[in-house]
Amino acid sequence: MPLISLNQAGKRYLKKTFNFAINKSDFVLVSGDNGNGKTTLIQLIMGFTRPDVGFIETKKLKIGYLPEKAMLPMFVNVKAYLNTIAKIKKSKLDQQLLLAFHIPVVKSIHELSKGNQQKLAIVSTFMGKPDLIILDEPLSGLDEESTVILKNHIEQKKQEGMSFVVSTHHPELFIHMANQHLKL
Amino acid sequence: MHLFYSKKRFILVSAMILFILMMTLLVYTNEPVVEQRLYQIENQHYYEIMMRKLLLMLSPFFVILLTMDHDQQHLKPLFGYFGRIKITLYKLIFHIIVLLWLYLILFALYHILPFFLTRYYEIDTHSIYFFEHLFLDGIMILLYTFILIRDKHKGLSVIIPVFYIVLSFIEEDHPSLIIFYLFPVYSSYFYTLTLAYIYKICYICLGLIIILIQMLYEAI
Repeated sequence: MPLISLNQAGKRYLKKTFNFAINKSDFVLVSGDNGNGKTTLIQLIMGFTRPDVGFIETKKLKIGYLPEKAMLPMFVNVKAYLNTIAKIKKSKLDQQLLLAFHIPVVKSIHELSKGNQQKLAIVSTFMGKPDLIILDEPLSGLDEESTVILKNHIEQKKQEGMSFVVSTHHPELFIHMANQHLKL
Repeated sequence: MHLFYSKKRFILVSAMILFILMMTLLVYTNEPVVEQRLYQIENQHYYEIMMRKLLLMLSPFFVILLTMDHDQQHLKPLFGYFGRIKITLYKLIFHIIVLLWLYLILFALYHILPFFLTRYYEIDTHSIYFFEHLFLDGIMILLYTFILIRDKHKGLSVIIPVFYIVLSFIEEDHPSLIIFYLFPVYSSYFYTLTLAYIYKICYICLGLIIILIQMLYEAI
């Protein structure tokens, strides 16, 4: 059974339906112009909104989700935040990724730049060995060096058997990893 | 961990200091010790009436200060990992524990201040029933906040304690069963009834069920 399968699922305002399945170790790449339903598709997969037509079948999954705009508690110290996330997800901090991203861990989150907040959100998304990782515009705010680091990290995790859904305006960076490419 | 961020911590501590000052002003008396002892029952009764009014007016605002930020955006990624029910339940339990601490502090202040500042005050157990009702009212305000208030319009949450105060005043002046059935807020007319206590608990359980159903089906 696939992890998630969408059966002609859609929203009324979108005028299109989605019909595909996400299996273990899949890499689903989602691209397309603005307003074509990339974020709606992710919201349907996440269960944040219910489909007006069709239906979605899903297993009980641990999903690591990176929203389009990093959603972080602003007035918390970075280190305290990461330790708390590690504690509640019963996992260890990914020191390798943390060091590669050069995130200043002693600062409060509201003091971080947009790029560093995005990096912090990425680190917390990968924590806890999720069954499926959903990245909505993961490159938003990242510099070239961080983009390469993230790309390599995703490749490594994919080889370890993790499943991905990545929505991006730069599909060329991930196309070689994808086994499904949804052009909306 | 995000409940007491710097600005909010300042507001909470300031509000608590202001509350203690108001209590001290109410408690303070320059009567001679002999007179305080002579009119002990009257003095204690006056203190209890005044303090209960003050608590009924101020405690809902403390509750709102603590609960208005319940709908935090950074919880959204955690919904996918842990599931909606688990996050909602943990959030509810956390806020109820915070409220329990708040009311324990208020309960302690209610007894400690007059005990040290006056010679007439004698600790009794009657106030426990009042604080039990006040705590249940706090949970009711918490439930209303969870059901009605979202991050986008959290400023409107101030309406809930105002509504609570108006209702409790109406209940004091014109006790009405219908109003009590709809909103079982503290009323000196009903709080001695055992059934009123049970009714409040059932009302709270209904609120909890509504929150869980709402969380399962609400688009976030």
